[in-house]
Amino acid sequence: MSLDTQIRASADAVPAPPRRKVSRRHRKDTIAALVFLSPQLVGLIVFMVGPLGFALYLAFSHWDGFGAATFAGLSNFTELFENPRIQRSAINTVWFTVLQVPGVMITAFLFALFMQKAGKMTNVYRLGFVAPVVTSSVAVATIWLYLFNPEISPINSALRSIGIPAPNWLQDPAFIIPSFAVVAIWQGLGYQLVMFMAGLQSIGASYLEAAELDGCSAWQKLWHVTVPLISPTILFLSITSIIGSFQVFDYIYVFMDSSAPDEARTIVYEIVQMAFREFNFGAASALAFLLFLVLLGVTGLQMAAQKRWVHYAE
Amino acid sequence: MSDSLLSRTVDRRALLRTGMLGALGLAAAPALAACGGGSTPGSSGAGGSVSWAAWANPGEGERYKKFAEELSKKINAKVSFQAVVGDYEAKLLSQLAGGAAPDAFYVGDGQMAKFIASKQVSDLSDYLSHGKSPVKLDEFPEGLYQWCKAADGTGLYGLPVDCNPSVLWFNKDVLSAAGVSSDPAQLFDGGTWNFDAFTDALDKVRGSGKKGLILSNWWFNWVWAVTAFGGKLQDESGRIVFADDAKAQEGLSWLLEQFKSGNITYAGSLPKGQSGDALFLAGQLAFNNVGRWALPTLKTAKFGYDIAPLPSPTGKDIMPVPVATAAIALNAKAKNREKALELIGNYVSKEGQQFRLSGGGNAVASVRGLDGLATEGGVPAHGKLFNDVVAKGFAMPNAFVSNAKTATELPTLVDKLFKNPSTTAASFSEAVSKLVNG
Repeated sequence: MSLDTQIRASADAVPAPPRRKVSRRHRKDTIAALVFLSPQLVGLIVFMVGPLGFALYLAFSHWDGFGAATFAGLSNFTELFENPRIQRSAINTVWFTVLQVPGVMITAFLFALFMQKAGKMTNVYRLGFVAPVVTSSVAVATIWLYLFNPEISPINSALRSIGIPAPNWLQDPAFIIPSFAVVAIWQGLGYQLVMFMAGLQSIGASYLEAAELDGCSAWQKLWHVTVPLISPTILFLSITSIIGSFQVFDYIYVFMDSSAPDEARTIVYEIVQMAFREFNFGAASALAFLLFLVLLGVTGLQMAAQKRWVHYAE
Repeated sequence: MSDSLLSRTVDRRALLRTGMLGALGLAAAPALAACGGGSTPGSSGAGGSVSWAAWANPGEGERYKKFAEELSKKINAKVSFQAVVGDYEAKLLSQLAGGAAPDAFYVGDGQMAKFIASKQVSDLSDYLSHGKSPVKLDEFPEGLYQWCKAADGTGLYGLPVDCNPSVLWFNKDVLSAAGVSSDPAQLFDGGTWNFDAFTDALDKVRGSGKKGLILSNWWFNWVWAVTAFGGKLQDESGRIVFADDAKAQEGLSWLLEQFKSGNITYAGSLPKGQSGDALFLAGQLAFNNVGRWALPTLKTAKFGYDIAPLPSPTGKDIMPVPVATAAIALNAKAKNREKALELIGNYVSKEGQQFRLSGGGNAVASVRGLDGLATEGGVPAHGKLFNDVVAKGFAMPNAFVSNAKTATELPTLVDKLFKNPSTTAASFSEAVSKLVNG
């Protein structure tokens, strides 16, 4: 008798498992899981999946917010690609992202490094940095509206006093998007600072000591030990920052209300304008869908690239 | 004790059964609540319940709630007010799309045309001509409600709740320090408040180092340059015709010259914070072109102030100028249509406006016969001019808002044109006419 036959014979000798019983138990477990998950699932379907599906449907429809929607094919997308205002808004959004994401990440990382030396004052500083995070964007924008007013701005007064010509922050086309980026960096700093501090604190002292014993300079320790070890934090923050910066809207709405000039408009601002001011929900949904695809693509690229530079501690 | 609830063993089946019953109960709760709800007509008082929504600052909100209490007694129905905070238009649109909008609601001039076209609001003409209505159409200045008509000029789908005319507030101290011997109100009283006098005052203020006037891209701030010179804004069909009107061109040229000379500063498209309001309050601006809504904040000002109408070619006339207004409209799917009409009628009636606006000081009545509201407390000294300007003024031209896209693009276009130093009266008129008339 070959080994194979022996195994088969012994398998035949073993009584068959109670299949019906297992499947009933499995069904019961599934039902139990569904019951306990149902509050969350209902919320997910009603507030996430449903609106997402509806937005996708609207992207291919003509709908003014009332009555029935009619099939539009790709005309909403064609309208967007032919609209120079949308192209300008897309450029503004990318420009904002280019300024804001590295700006807030580098600043937060540097402050996090300094905060490691702050000793007993760490909590005080951290509170100061986190305060803007927990302040509503509308309140933040209102404060900055005052700070950006060229007539009464203390920033402009300070610049003038040291001989630097003060810009007209929210009027000069060259300064509008950088102004938004400044506000976003200021508000987003606290969150990223806390994340970087957590990342820095998780680096074992032995790594740095070993580097020191090998004769590394402070810069070499930072570049070859610290940065690689907090690379997962950098990846996470870069993904969430880029998604957030592509969705910038609230500052512009408070600064400019519903009549922002072309130089100040971003994609999400356009979506809101088209939907709720122009009653063009089809084109607004198509734009939202395109934004979703772009963010999906950018995040996908980041995830693909992370294999090359992100180091996960064992 | 062995059978008691506490000592009973909780097996998996029992837990699942309890969980499922609990989930069913939670799911059914809203439906059950709705079945027993108190908001259906007839459930509270003989007339049922009726509600309206509006944007409101805290002071207005309190006043509206008191109005609701008083009106509840008067019309024998439970009247409730929904204060909408934040983006009013977006929230109202969501409510309408979901069939959850209140029986009556405020409509801004940018949304009315769309709401009429999509049949979201009902025609009020029959109700107004009805003997039971506490307000009649002829009580409103004609220029205030044209924008509430359908595109073909028929029907009436909203009634102005109150209004704010475009006037010039001026800082007496800034003008006096700049060497302007007679203030604009005195010049108007003397019949010499014309555009030369205005330019002269602006020149002097600029010379003194202060700002003369700041204007934005809002129609309220620039359309008067067309009409105050005697120019024609629209023809009988509602088309914009100021491109072909010599006086209108003269007015626009004057405005563009003032921008170039620095007598008037263009505020860009920033309606908040960086408009003239902050500078006027800070005593850095001689004139502010706003409505009566400026009064509550000005009451604490430490400088002398008053108002004057926009200048006229003769120096003694009040010219037709913009009047900002909003309307209250009847939801086409109002649950309690009869009481909602009563609510609207009472809301805009003389009695209703007197109740809502007295003591508030931030608007002017939209019906005739309430002149005392604008002169309340004797501040500003020439408060009666608010009424005179409203009587001659006009609300948002239909052509500007008959298409939602036009309504949103017009301020952006005007912004571009005002920022461009090569804009002329002709190029401005051509671009605006092309956008508006199509």
